[in-house]
Amino acid sequence: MTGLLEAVYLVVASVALILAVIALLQLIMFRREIRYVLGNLNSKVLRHVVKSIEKRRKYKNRYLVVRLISSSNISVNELQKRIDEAFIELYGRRGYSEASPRVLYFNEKTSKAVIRVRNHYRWGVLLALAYLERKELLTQVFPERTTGTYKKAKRYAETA
Amino acid sequence: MRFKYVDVSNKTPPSLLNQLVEKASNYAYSVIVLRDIPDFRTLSDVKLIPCTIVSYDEVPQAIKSKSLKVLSARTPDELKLSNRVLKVLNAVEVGGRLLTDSKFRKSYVKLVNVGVPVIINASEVLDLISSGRDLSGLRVLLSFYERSRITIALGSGARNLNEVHHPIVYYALLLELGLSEVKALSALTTNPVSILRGAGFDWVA
Repeated sequence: MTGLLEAVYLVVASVALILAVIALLQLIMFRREIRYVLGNLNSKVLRHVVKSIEKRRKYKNRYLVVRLISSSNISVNELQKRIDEAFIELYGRRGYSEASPRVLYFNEKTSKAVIRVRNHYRWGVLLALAYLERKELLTQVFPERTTGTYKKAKRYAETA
Repeated sequence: MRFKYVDVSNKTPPSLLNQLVEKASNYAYSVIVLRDIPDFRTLSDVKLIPCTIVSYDEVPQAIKSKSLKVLSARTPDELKLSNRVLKVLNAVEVGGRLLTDSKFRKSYVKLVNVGVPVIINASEVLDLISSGRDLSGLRVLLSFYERSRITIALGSGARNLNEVHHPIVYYALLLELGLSEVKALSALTTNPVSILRGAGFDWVA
């Protein structure tokens, strides 16, 4: 009986030893990487990671559905021109080329428009529309919805 | 259910009151704090609250009136926060050089220490942006707000009908100025309500 127990202890001890050796080898192999991660895990690195993630999302478009009320009839081209002017005045030509706001659709019945813009500048477009409202080129501006696809945005723009 | 907003600072003349109320109602405002009205009234479900500008000399009259008492400061000299004024004051409206110059840090620290809520007029900020002025003073104030050391409420500050915008536009403005989403939203929703509650208008939603 005692012989059997000793054999079991021996097996357990040898397994533990093997596992310890493997862990030690892995620690030696990945020591540099672990030290690098632990040493650099501070706010600066996290900020860098967040920025890189944001950069990856840089070229995603958003489709803004806005209801625009104007005293005179307004066409898509005219609206595009006005938004371009306001956006350039607020953000400059560089900001405009990065944002590239485009009026894709304007429904005269519901007076809703779909404006495509780069994700980072979606609030900028609303400011540009407010700028037009201040200049009395538009009477009222109602931001309705922001979608990720044109199909959905058009569906919202078509409904009253 | 639509959320109702509060415009904590509006300077539209009383002759345009009906049009203002109509536009504000369309933009989901339930309460407007107006400069030039004598008393509280309700027009087509929009509640109009009078606003009194407080200065050191006008304190006795301000105590009597049932209104929102605001100290309007455009320069550091106008920011006289004596005990006499603080007794009746509900908020401080900041504008002019206090928004454009960052060298008045002491004035902002004074506001932080006193703990009075600060009202910023979006109309003035938009004017400064469109004229290409530096907003370093405002940035200092917003940095205090971001660290929860001060309470800021954004009012329209509209002097005309075309300067009243949708609340989401003001939210966009605050985000573009560098505030976080939570702080930007609370500057438009909870902070104006708490200012009005502090002035005795407890029924504000």
